[in-house]
Amino acid sequence: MSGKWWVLVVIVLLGTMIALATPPASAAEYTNVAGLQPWSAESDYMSLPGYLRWMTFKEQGIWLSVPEAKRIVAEQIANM
Amino acid sequence: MALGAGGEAHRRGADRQHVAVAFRQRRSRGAKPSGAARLRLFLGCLLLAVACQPREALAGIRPVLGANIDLAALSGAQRAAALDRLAAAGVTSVRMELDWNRVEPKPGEFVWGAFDAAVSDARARKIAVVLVLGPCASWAVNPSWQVPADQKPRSVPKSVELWRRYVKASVLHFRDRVHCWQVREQPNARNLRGTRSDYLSLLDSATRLIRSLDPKAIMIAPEAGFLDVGGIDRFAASPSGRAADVIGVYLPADPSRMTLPWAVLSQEVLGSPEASPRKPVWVLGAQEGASADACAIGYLLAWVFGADRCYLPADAVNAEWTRPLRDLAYEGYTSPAPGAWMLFFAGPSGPAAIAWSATATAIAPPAPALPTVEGAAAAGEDAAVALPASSPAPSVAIGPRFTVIPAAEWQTLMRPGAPTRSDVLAARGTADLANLPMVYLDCSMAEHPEFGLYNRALRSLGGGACLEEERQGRSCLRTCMTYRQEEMAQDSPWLYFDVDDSWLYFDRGNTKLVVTIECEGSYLGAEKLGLNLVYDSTTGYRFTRWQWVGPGYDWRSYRVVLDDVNFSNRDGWDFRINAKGSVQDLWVSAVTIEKVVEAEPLPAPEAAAPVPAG
Repeated sequence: MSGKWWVLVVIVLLGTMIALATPPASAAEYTNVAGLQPWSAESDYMSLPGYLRWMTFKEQGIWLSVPEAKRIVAEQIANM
Repeated sequence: MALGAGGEAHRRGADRQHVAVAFRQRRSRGAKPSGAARLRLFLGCLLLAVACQPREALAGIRPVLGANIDLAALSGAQRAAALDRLAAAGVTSVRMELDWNRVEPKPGEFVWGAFDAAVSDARARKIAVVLVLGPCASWAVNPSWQVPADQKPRSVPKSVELWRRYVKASVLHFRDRVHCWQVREQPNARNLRGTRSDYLSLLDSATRLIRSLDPKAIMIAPEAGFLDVGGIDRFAASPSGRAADVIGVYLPADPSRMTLPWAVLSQEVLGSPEASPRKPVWVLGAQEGASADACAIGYLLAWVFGADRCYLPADAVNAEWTRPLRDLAYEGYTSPAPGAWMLFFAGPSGPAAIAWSATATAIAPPAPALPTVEGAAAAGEDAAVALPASSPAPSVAIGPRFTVIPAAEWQTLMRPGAPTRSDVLAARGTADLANLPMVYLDCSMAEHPEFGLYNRALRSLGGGACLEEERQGRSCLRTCMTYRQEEMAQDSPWLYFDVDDSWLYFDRGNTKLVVTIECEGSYLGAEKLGLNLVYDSTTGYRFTRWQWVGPGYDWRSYRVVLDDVNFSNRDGWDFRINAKGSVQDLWVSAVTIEKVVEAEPLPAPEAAAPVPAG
């Protein structure tokens, strides 16, 4: 019985590892600004959400609101 | 990834000349189940195997022709007329959004009337319905997100529970009539104002809920781009992608940009051995601006590459082009001229061929094989009489609208199956750069200034309207930056680049690159001009480190090493030079990309070294 449990545990662990190692889905992709330094030249002296807003406007013609941009950047930073 | 600098402009210029010359020279060449349970299991497996059969194995089967149309927004008479027209054109399925705003105008109050009528009218004509869950109900958007009112349908609900209530009510209402469900139109910045986890939460929760309510349901996961091979590759490998029954793709507006991604997607991404059995692919629509002719060609290519269904804008579907395709079975292809394609079909009245090209082209069939002298002599005829005078075969005019032509004269050119990546690249009729060590853009070179690295065609992209200017005797690309609020739309701080597909296209980060940028120094002084790259990587678009350009009027050279590129023409480009953050414009005279051979150690990053001007 304990042998079966070990097999189950190994399978679950392997499955978890595979799931974690899988590249993220491409859904709702915005250019990743998480690695940029805010308030510096590389973010055009803006905050990262501000820089993402500007970039999305240039690329898509859409202005994200500040709270929307903050949510997206927070997730990008969390996934770094 | 590393960012370095080094002044080797002269050596690089000589290398580029050498590559161009060499290239021109080369061009000239458990417990045991019961019996009944086992039978059920066997039949289930059989059904699954048939359902999941790769389309290549079912060669010749025409994809289901579908149309995208908002039937619920039409009056009864308009809807009847539209459905009759589509049915006459051979449409057997329609796809439409089950607009959350119209279905649940107030929280908890569901109104099905218009959608019920739409589904009933379609089914009365034997037209199946695919429903797209979304757009978002405006009342469900979190007010603290400050989403503009007209953009709220593109946002995401503040709570998954609200979403689940809408999904559950919809599936319970339609599950006897609708079995195909898609979650949101396209999860990209234009259609979904939310985070990646927002979308995956909607997709995963809807998938679980729908499967529990309707085990027969088919879940469609749409791609974010337009035949974006890199994005689909990542998504198909993710848990959410694996959970979906169907991968949905969208066609780019330009048919010449469809063939290569289709070949790679169907044969290298979804058709790879590790992806067996292959997940079905449906075409869900076309990019805004796609013409009816482009959509018709998109349908043919969906057929060639094994898509099971193809939904096109309703306006683009008409019997004029769909009728000749009825009762045909696809057999093979050829490329009769650069940029031109010809498909071969078996039909009830014999073989047929369909051809098109990006521009108006005249194609001539191959000369018929002449009987041999020996053959004529064996037949007891005078050889001089048996050999007819060869007359040139009449040419056929083809263009962006596909043309049905007699197949007999072309049949010898047919290659069975679908074209591969190398077939598609060869059919372009342009140079094959695959084995060259570098590609470059050098504005100063009179011949081939864009040698496998292209910018001119990309200047209409957002922020990429650069200029070509002379600067200290060199031809350059110049950014056009502005910081005036009222001129923000004209601000162009980016130089976009597309790497030739024969040199590098979708290799999942297996090729390490060195990008060398030659530019003028900063005339305003230190830390006034800088740059970095934004490039398509194995994890999506990302930045390289910021690099200040040294002060002075010298020409400088900066080197960036990229070890995770996955260039696949996403949004039409592969990387861009970004100068935003500088207080002056950037003048770039040349950009070179080299493939790093692993046996050679990478050069150590050096300090920026000026090179002589001129």
